[in-house]
Amino acid sequence: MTSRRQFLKGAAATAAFTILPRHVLGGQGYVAPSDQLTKGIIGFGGIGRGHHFHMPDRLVAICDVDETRLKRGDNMAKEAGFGQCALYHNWMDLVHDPNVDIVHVCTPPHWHALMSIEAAKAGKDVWCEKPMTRTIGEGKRVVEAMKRYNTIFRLNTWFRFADTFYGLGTEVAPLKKLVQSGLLGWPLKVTVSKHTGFDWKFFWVGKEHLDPQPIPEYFDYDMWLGPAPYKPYNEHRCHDTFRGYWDYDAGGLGDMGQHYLDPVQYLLDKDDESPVKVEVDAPQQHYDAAGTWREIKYTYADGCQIVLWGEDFGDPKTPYIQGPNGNVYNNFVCDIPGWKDKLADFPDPLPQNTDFLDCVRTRKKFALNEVNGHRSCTLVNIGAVALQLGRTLYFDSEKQEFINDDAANRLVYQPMRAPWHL
Amino acid sequence: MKKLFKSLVIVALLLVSFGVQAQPNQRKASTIVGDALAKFPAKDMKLYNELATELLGTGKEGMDLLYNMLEKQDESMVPVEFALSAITTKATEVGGETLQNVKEAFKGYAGKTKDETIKQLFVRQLLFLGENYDGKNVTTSSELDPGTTPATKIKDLAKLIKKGNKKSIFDALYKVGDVAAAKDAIVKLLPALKSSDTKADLLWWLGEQKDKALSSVFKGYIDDADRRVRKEAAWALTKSGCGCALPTVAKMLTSADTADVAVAEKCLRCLPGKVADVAASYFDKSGEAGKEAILNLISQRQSITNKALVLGSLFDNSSTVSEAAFAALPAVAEGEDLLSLYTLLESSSEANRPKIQDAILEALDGMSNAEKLEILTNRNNIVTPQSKAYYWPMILKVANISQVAGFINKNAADKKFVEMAVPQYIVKVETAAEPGAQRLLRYREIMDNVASDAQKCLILDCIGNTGAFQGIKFASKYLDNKNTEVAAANAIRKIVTGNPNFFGPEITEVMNRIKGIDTGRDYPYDLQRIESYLAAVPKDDPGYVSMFNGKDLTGWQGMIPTNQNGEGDPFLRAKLTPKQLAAAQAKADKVMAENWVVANGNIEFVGHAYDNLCTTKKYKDFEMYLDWKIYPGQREGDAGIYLRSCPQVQIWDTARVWVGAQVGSGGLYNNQKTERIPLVIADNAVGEWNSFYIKMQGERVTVILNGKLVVDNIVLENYWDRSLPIPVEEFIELQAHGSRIAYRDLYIHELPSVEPTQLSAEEKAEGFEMLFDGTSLHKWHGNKVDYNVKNGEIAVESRSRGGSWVGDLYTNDEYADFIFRFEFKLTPGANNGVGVRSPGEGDSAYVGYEVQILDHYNDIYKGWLAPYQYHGSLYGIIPAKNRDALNPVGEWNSEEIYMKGSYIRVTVNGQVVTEGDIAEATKNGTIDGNDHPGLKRTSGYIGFLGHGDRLWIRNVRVKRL
Repeated sequence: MTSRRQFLKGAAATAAFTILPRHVLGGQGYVAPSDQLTKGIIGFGGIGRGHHFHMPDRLVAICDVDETRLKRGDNMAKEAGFGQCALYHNWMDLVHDPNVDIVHVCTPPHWHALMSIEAAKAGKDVWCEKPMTRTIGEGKRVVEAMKRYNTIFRLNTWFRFADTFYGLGTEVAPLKKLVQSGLLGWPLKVTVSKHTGFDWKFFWVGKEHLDPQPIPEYFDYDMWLGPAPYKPYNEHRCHDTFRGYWDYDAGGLGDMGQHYLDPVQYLLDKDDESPVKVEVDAPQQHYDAAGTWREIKYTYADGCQIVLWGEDFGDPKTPYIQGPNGNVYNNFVCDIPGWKDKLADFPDPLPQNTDFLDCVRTRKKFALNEVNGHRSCTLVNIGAVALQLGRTLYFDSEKQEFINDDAANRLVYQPMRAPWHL
Repeated sequence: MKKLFKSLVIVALLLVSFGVQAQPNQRKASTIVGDALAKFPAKDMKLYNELATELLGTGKEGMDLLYNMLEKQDESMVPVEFALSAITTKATEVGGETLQNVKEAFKGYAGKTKDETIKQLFVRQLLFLGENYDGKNVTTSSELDPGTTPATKIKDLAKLIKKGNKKSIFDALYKVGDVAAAKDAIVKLLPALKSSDTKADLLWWLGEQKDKALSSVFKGYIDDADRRVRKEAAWALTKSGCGCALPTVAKMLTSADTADVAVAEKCLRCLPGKVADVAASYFDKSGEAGKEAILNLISQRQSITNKALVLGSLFDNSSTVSEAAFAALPAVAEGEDLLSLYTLLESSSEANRPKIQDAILEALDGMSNAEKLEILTNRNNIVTPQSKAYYWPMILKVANISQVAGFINKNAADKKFVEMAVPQYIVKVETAAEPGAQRLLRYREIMDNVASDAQKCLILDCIGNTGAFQGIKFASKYLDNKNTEVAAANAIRKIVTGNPNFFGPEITEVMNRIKGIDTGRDYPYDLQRIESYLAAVPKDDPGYVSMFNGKDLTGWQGMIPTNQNGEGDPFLRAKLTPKQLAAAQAKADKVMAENWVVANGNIEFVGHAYDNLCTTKKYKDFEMYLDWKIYPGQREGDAGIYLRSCPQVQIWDTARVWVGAQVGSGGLYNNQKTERIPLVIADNAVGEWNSFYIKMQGERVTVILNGKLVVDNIVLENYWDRSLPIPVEEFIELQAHGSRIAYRDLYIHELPSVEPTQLSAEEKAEGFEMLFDGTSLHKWHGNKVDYNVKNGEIAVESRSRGGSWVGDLYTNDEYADFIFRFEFKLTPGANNGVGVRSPGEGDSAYVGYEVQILDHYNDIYKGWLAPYQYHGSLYGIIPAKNRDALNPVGEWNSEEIYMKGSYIRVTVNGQVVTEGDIAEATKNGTIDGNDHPGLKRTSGYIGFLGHGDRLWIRNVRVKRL
């Protein structure tokens, strides 16, 4: 049986020969429902219903292991005019639903790799929440799988190409222009802290030592855990507070890390490499509950550094970017005399492919895809490993493994709970 | 905790510096574990490493201890969890046999425990240790390395390309292994391809390779018959990094196809080099679209060399070109063009004016805002009334908030101007990141001159977001106007419900009033918020009450001068007979009537004397709000707020540097020992209003000026007699200092205050002295930061400071033989101590004597405390005999230390716990084996020692023997 999706892709390939002016049928700008790409959302929590629900691909399927959330999704879909969506308890069923073109992975991070890879195997394209994967090893597997199964993948953060970059008071494009002009010199040091407009959301800390609670009837905890180690149920592990636990995420660093660091990686032109060293200054971390930290410092082979400061740590007057020839502060204030005039002589950054649905149709890689997304997620993950071990770690950017530290490498490749495995 | 911790640090240091294992007979594993547990979780890596090294050194014995504690499931579970993971990470660092031992032990625990949580803790540890524990719920991944995807063979790629299926081609391209071979193959295939779409896709892929060597290939397709092929060729050339891209792509600007022109412009934006000049050379050959693109590029590169071209195109026949030229004007404008730009502005069409205004501002670039403001204002002053309007937008842009307020207030009659300026003002205020109280002052500054009700509503919306107390009364004025009542009600509701501390009779009244105002869609919810606020208003606390009725000086009286300087010393006033007092008050009120008036709705000082305005009521603890303003044009702008009749929270004109006023207002000016300088300068300019929040609790004062904290819980010294604390109850006074000052919106909220503890009649008769009665530490010196007075107790609660040593708290006097009595309350495991005959610095346990304070019932001390470490012991010298006298943790205890000569007796809750003769106890050396130089001392300070743990102390008294 030919699925709708394959037909669509075939139609795109022969578009040049099709003489059928669609706008004649529906008026200019009209897209018939049958031409819209469709989506299935796995995980109908805050991000699934608040964000992915509203993205322009048409909703046809929803999956959640919480009956109440699934029901809510059904109601929302009907209210929004999507009609009756397919409702799934098991995400594998959604992945194999022939009506779904794009699988939106909106679960906690411990599921991201498994679901992305299974979706790719099933011939779907993938729109995945951040952080991309919970371990570096899983990230490597996703990169490989997207290549093997010809998948167009987008990671769901966008500050490298759109929107004001949190409290920094500027978009990233003009910063990129300044950095690539070389006016600031090299290497650069970027400080991501409250002082430069970035809140590390320490309210995501977990609670140490949770007492077991009865599992609610409407909630399939075993399926929610999936590949994560089994731990007795406590509601604080799940839903809106899961970020506080290392088994599923990495606290505020996991939540905001890729939002804040992916654009930095783009600015520093590090989409193809990872830092060689990571240092942490933090209170001891609990084995289960992620805690707070004062500083995480990444150093690249060429001397570029990314410094993260938690809460109020560090000098409030620190620039966002420090270079040997000048600094950039919030609201795009640069201290190089006459920098605006100087900068005008330089070219703009190259445009990026920022329309994901267009990428799906034309098969071009999206601006933030599995390859550069994996690199920026690696920043998050090597930070999380260094925090848990409480020591300075050295990283091999090529092999993507830690150097001379077996314990750290055991967190690069973590086992999954049976029957789940990559 | 310091004494217990000290031995640990020493051992840890030994381990670090000599690399030796702890001597087994030196300290027991239980001691090490107990010591360490009190410090988990470690606050930083240094301590973490010390603790982890220590614990690892205890081997199986220590691990067993920890495991057993875990199984007991008591409240120390969390520190145990931290301790176990510290062992894990340290073991992975040490490796070798140590790691194996830990692994074996942990495997044992994981297998043994019946508790799933405990088991999972060890499973997690075993993961770090390299052991994927084979429990029923854990499996390893069978194929961690999936291998790599087979690379596309060039032969297959060529076949696919010829077939022309888009998806297959892309799938193959992403898997190409030998990129160089693929490039060669594609370049060879390209000319013969029939499908332009495939051609374009392949050019895109080649372009992504960013290969300079391919530039000649790309150039070959720049004139292709197919539009998409031309586009991808131009982009590929642009990305290639070849210098040839610029002239080649620029030529596309002359294309008749506007799509080509658009592509060319986008590419040229991303190309380095003299883009604007090269593009400009095609200007004459270009069509309308090309010309527009070239002007855009001149604008992007701010190419002043092409200014003539821009100016020449301003009035081009094509409106597209003309518009682009105006858009480029700011990019090429320079100082020398200023006069031409003025002329252009004054004669221009409405549509182009914003661009000319931008150009003028660019021409002024490099000057300070003040200079720009001067130049633009000068021009504005000489142009026709009609043209003035063209300059205002620029003037408002470069002026600061105060200047814009000035313009609005000065030109209040010009309603059109005000209407234009107010939104600008709001944007400036909202983006300046000033505190809420300050933003409120900013809005109040102009509100009277805002004519439009719609704009008043805008401002009221902003006031609602300030959260500022003073906004409640201010916004309520706008309830009287039908057009502003909804905005006012919203603002009031937001402020009041946003802060549970905002309540009082006036607030209740206005909240009841706005219940009846229909705020629209959210009205039911708004009503609900108001109702739940009103229901939650405390019944036993009147909250904030007004100190000024706005009409007269009811509630105020003159200050009675009592000393030769004419100052109102409350201690001298207290000595007056009732008759004398009444006469003096009558006289003072007469002086007051001459110097203080109610004017402009404010209390204002208009005299020249120094007679303060006094409340008729006396206040103990309180918090208050008030606004003040120094009138401009006075040499000695100065005032202040006296608290409990003591000077003062300072108010002065910061320009008076000759008296040190540059530090700003709000400081406790008359302090000598404690801080008198404000934390930050938060003053507004003389002539503008300022907002104070003042809180007084006990002898400590907090001041917030215009939303910024300037005094942080500082002791206000007694100016009249510095050996005494300030009075517990006295007047609040508005200071007169010879200059004209205005006060408005005074509200006060009285806070529950502490009644000083009194000596019992018995103790009074015996000659005891109160050292701490719940109100003040004025009989003490040393660390008054970590030991601070709260709710009538000395609270020791600076856990966050951890191990950093900042000193102990000592009496001001020295004592030789004495009876020292106090009450204390502990937290679990808390450790402190009473230093006696102490030199007042150093570790009193050794350089003086220390009577131990310790919750020795706590599990973390089980089984390893030395006898001389129990509560009540004379530390290291005489052990406590009775270990059961302490009340359970969280309850108060009373204690007496009796010391005469070398005799000491410690009584806890009525039971003697320690008794003995020091000389006798130390004749063969001390039992802790440590050097106690303090044994020679016969007199010294009494103090509370250690400050790592939380505890409370009250009712401290002493009697000399």
